[in-house]
Amino acid sequence: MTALTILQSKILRTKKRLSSNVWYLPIIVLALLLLMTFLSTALRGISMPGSFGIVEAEFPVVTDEKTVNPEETWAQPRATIDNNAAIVILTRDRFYFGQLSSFGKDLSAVHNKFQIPHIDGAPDLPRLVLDLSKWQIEAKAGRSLVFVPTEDIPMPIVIQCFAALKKSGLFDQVILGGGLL
Amino acid sequence: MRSTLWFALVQRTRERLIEPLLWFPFPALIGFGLVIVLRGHLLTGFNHRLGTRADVVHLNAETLTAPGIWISIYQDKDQLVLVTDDHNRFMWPLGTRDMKTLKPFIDYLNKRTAEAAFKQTLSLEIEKDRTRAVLAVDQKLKYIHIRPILFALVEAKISNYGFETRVVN
Repeated sequence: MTALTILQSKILRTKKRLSSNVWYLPIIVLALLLLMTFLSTALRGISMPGSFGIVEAEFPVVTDEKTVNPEETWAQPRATIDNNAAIVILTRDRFYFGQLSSFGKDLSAVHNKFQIPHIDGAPDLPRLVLDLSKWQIEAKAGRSLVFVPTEDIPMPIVIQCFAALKKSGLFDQVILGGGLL
Repeated sequence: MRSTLWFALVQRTRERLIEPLLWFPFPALIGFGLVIVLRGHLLTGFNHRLGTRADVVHLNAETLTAPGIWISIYQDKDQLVLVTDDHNRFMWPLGTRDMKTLKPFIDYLNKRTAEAAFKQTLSLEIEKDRTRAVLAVDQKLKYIHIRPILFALVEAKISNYGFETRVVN
């Protein structure tokens, strides 16, 4: 084999090697990385938005008057829940509302309770707020409200009703009750 | 002879540089994949909502700025599962009325409130949001499932709590 033949063979091999585009694979991988980044960001953006809210609630705190006088405590009570406070009961088919005493003492009496049926299974919140505002003035009810859903009410409905009652502005304190019924 | 060796060296280097390095992008790909997996599935501390299945109600409400004691609540078969923001997990049967099953959860809440109180004492600041319990309740749950948790909050002397909502613009 002559030197020329060896050289020609070498040139041929080099040409063949150089003719294959070596950048294809890195380009494909980089494009794949970019695509995965985009998809990952998009999926996270869809599934986990950054804006979350809160519907605030609180439990009433009871002071032990035997040991500490209310005057001696560092925080004065903002409101007191008594028989004059309002209560709203949410069942599967209607709202019931009235004063706390009407559900505590005269449970069977019908003259001191009010009801608002749901519309097609959905709570009629606008009417509840309207009737509550009228009743609150007539009955001279307190500015505290105890909201008691029954056990089988789905939580989204409980939260929405609770938020609507808070937003109505009719009451200073709205308390989510449990175990009263 | 010297020039021949030099020529051979140049040739080898040229060939090495021209040859496609097929292994090169794969470590980057593996690293990227690890970042995705760790961020999304394993290092849930990156975002405390990751890894929980609670789909909260869509409702425009006051913006949640500080999560406080964040608790995700959802149903897994016949169990109620609670996952906290620091990845503690509590389970009990749905609709339980036995307060003994809630004891580990109440102990945990007591520990969290004590820690928060200690930090506030050190920093000489009172932040109501630090001891506030934020309940991220799954939409499938009913009120009967949440009542034991409310009782547990009362037992732990947490009077301030709230329900997390997803704000939709």
